Amino acid sequence: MAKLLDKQRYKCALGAMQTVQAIERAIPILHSGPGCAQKLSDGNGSSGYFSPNIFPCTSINEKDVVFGGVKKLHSTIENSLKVIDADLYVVLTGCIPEIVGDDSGEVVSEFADAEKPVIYAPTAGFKGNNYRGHEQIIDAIIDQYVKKTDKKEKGLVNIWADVPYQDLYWLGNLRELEKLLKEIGLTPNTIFGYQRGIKNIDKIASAEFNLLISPWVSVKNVKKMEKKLGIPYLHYSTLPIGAFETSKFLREVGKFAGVDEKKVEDVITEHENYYYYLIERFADLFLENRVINKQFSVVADAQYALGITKFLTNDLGLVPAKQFITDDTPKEYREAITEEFKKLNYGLEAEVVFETDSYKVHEQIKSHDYHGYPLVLGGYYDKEVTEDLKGNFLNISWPVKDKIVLNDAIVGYEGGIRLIEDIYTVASQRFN
Amino acid sequence: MSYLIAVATSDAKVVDLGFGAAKGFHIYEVEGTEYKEKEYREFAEEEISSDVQSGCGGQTSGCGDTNNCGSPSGGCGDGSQDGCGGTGGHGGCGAGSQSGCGGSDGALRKVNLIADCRSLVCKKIGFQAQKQLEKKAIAGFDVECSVDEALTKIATYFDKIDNHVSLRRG
Repeated sequence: MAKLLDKQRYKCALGAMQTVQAIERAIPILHSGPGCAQKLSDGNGSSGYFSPNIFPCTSINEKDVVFGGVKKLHSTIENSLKVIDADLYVVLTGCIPEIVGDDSGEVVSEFADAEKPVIYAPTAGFKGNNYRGHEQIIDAIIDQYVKKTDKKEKGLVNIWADVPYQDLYWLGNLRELEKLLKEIGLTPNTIFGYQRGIKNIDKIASAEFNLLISPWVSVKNVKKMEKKLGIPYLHYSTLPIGAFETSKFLREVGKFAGVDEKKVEDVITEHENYYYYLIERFADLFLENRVINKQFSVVADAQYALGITKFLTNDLGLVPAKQFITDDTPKEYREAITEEFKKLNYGLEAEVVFETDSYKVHEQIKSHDYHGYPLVLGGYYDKEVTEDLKGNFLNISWPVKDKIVLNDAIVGYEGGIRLIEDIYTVASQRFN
Repeated sequence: MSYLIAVATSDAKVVDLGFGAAKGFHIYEVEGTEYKEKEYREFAEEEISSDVQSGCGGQTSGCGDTNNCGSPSGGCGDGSQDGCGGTGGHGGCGAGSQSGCGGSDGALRKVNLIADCRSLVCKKIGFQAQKQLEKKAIAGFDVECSVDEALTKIATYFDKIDNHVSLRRG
C-alpha cells in the first residue's frame, strides 16, 4: 500500500551536498537530474564561495537512462577540474544513475592522478535521508582521502557534531565546542566552516581521539575511523546545552582525554559562576510562573530533541510533555535514545516518539494536555498548530523560516543562555 | 503492441548520421524487445528545399518585402535581411537554423515524415529538431554506437517502462 508522508523534516541523501558545501573550498559535482541542487538548497546560507545554483551537474536525461551517463560524468568532472578553483571535488550521485547502474566510482577512480582530490559518495535518495547522506560524505572522505598515520598529535581531538545546514546552528555550535575543548587544554579539529577545510581534513588521522556528540548520526563514521585509522572514539550522545549538561560533558571529555581534573573543574567553576550570575539577575522573571509554559514539546532531530529536552528540564525546571524525533532514526539506535530521555534530573522521564509524519505529530500535540499553553520548539511546520493552541513557538529545527542564524549557537554555557533568551523573548511577548 | 523506431544510418550498421544530414531513415518495427527492419523512408531533397522556400520570402507569407518587415505593424521580427516570416503557426523566423529561413519548418517537415515513430536515433540532433520531436512526443536519442546496440537498449528501456518494471540494472 502506498503511504503519504506529510511534511517530513529531512531531504533525500543528495541533500548532503550541504555537508560538502560546509567544507571550505570543497565543491560537490552532482551526477543527477537537472534541478536537484536547486531544490535541495535552502535559505540557510550558502558556502559564500560557491552557490548551489552553479554546482556542476551532469543534468542527466532520458538518453543517459537508456545509454548510461558515465561519459557525461567523466566530462563533467574533467571540466570542473579545469574551470572551478576548489580544493576538494566530491562527486555525489542522485537516484537515477544509481538505479540504472552507472558505475560512478569507476569514473571517479580515473581521476586518481588529478592535481586536486576527487572523491565519490553514493547519495541516492532511496538509500536514506540527508542525515545518512552526511554520513556517506564523511565515509567517502575517510575511505578515499584520509591516509593512516602513526604520528599522533598530543591532545588533538576531532569533533563531529551537527549536520551542517540541516541544523541551523551548526557553525556556531562547532565553534563553541572548539572553544570549550580549548579551555580544558585540548586541541580541537573540525572540518566545517571558516578556515577549516582541507587542511583540517589532513589533520584527522593524527588526532588522539574522535569526539562524537550526537545520538546516532556519524556513529558509523567514528567506528570506521577506529578500524581504518586506529583512532579511538568517545561517543557522547547528548548535545550539551546549559550549565548542567555542559559541566557533565566537560568532566567526561576531560576524563577520557586524561586531562588534569583540577583544570577541568576550574574551567567549569568559572563558567558556572557567570552562568548562574546571569540567571540570578533575572530570577524574578524565571520564578514568575505565569510567564513560561508548564510543559513543553520539542519537535526536531534526535540531536536537538534530546539536547533541548535535557536542558529545559535540568536547567529551567520545565516539565517535558511528549518529545518528537523526526529524523527517521535507524531502528538500531532507537532504544538507546529512548533510554537517554529517561535520564533527567528530579526523577523526571520524558516520553519520546519517533515520528516522521507531521500530521501525526500535530495530532498528538493537539490531544495532549499541557496544563495550559504549550511551549513548542520545532520546525516551521509546527508554528501554525502551536498558534492554534495559543502556545509559544520557537523555530529551532528544519525547516527554518522564522529565524536567521549567522553564527549563533545553542551549545555550551553560552548557548544555554542564548536559548533562554530566545524562549523568554517569545514567552514575554504574550504580555505586551 | 509494436511500435516504430527511426534510425539515421548510412549502412544500417552504425548510427553515423546527424538528423539534418540524413537523407532518409531506416524504420524498425519493435515488438517487446525484438526488432526488425520494416522499411527505408527517403525524403526528396527538393521537397525539403522547396518547402523551405515557400515558407520564406514568399509574398504569400505577408512578409517578404523588406519594407514591411521590421515596421511596427509588420509583425515580422527585426527586419532582418532574410525577410523571413512566420509561416502561420510554425513558430517564427529563422531561429538560427542552417537554412536561414524556415527555422523550425525544415526540421518540422522531416519530423512529420517520422511522426508515427516512437523514437528517433541519430548521431546528432539540433535544437530545432529536438523541440519538434518533443512536440510530437518522439524520444530523440543522439548517440554514437551500432544500430543493434541502440535498438537493443531502447527496446529494453521501453519494454520495462511499458510493463512497469524497475529500470534497475543487473
